[in-house]
Amino acid sequence: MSGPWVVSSPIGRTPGDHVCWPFRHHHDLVAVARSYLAEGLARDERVAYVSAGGPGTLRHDLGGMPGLDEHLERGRLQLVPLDMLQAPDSSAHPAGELPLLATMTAEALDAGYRGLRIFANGTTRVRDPDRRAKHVRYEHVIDRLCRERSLTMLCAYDRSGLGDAAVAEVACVHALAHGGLSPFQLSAAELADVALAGSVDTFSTSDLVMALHRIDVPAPGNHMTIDTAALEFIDHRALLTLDQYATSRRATVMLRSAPGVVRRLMELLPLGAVRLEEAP
Amino acid sequence: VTIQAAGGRSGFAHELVLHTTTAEMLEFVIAFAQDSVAAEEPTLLAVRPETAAAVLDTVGPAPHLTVLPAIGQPGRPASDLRATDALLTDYLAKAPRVRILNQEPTVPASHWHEWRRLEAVVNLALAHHNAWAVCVYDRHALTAERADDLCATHPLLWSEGQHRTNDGYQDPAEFISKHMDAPPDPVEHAAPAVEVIDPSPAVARATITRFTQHSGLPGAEIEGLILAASEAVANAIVHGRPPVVLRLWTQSGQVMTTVTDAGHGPTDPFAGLLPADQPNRQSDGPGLGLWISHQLVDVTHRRHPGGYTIRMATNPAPYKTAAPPTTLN
Repeated sequence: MSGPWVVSSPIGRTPGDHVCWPFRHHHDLVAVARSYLAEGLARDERVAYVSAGGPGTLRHDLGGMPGLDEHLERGRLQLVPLDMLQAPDSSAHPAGELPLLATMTAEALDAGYRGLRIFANGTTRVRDPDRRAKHVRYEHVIDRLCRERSLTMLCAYDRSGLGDAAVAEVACVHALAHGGLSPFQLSAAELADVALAGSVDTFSTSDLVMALHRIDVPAPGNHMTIDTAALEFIDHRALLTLDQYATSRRATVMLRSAPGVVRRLMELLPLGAVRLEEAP
Repeated sequence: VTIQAAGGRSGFAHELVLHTTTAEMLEFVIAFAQDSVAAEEPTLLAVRPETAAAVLDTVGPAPHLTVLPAIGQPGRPASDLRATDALLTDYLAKAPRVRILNQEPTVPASHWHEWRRLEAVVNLALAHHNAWAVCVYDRHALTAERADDLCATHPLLWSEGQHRTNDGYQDPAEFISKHMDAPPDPVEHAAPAVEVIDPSPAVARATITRFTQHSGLPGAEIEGLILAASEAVANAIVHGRPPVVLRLWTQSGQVMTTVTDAGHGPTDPFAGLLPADQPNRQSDGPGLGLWISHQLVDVTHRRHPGGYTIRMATNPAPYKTAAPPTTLN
């Protein structure tokens, strides 16, 4: 799988990036974390390592990083037990929903750093299916927060423990992803409510609708715009299912920058709630 | 020749004219045009230039009479059917009845299978229109088998100067069910450029993309083939039986792909041809996807001892929509 949303390396990240990084072994996780955080330090960003466990466990994970003690003492590197990150509530705005992340980002900028870079191992948060469903919305809100603030975030999930399907449920709402577990990405967008990239076919249609439902778009009764400029493929079943989903929410969906094949498909399909935005 | 409007029928009248001489053909077409003018029914003649000139000379410009250039080669049957349906709907919003006469093209052997399927399914797909459609063929350009196919697919026949009920007409479903044996394209006998066993739709799309990126084909043709191949593989996985095999050939600026599985293929004899909003079409069944594929690429189905194969091909010269009509009034 290829596409601008697929990343093969934890480094080369810039502020605003929100990456999903599935891993299989703890030593892989640690290696990724170290290089990702080291790049942030080299770029004068404040970095934070978030994972389950106490400060001692977290420090042990990063043992051997050059200058680790000094980075910790000076506050360039922060160790944050996962439990300190609050679970999402129902408020709409990311800064309101994620006060700690917003505050941490603001503090980093106030302290003169060029931004905040977080590595978070969220595996324990998504083991339970119900909790995972809620966590998908949390990740989407983080996606918006990264885009709006100078926040860079890499979210690691243990695919050997969770299974690829479970990780894909979470991966699909990151702007960037490693490993290609989800054929599509549903991310925050600058000029639309969300952006849909990649491919949606017969076998991923239900995953798309589930993700939309979890991130609660379109809001019932509302109109929404989906940026489809990076949508490589979608089939008629996905479009019809999207139409039924929007209709069931009494909402309308406008597709912006739709590729030619989507336009041709929509000429042939009896859609009511999904429409094409006319080119300016 | 005296034309009487297909026995004054209501509903859809689908008539076959097999002519053996140009004079015979012109005599029929001119009489048809004159009768249409007298009946004041909107009438479209899709005829070749010399026929159009003869009509213009004899009948002259007249209200309701529209002359279109005949198609030079078969288009995509499902696409043509959709366009005809839309055209009739448009005309019948303003008039109680409409007449169409098509001077039919010489159909290449590779297209005959789908062509005769189209002639059969027209009787159902357009049945809701109050229209009289006449298909004019040159008998000398047809084999005996093709003439038989045409007789089996037209409920009305112009014979001995009269519109007659055609005793040789067959139920469309029965007729098509007897003809699910389209021969392989000669290209299929060559080794394919690529063969993929049990691909996912995503692998099928990636394969088509890789082999078409330098083909020089129009983007819309490539997109159509990608969509059709993806749909064919999805249908084979969901409705067929493994193994599913995707094969692809590139030759003479054309890309052809087949998807074979060990199942029986669509049970619906009209698969791919009937409009998507028919009552028996469901979005989760194979019907709508096949119908869309038929709009976008050249599609042929066949059953064979090893299972079922759907063949999809691009066309190096994409089909053009009909030229704007010339109204002779």
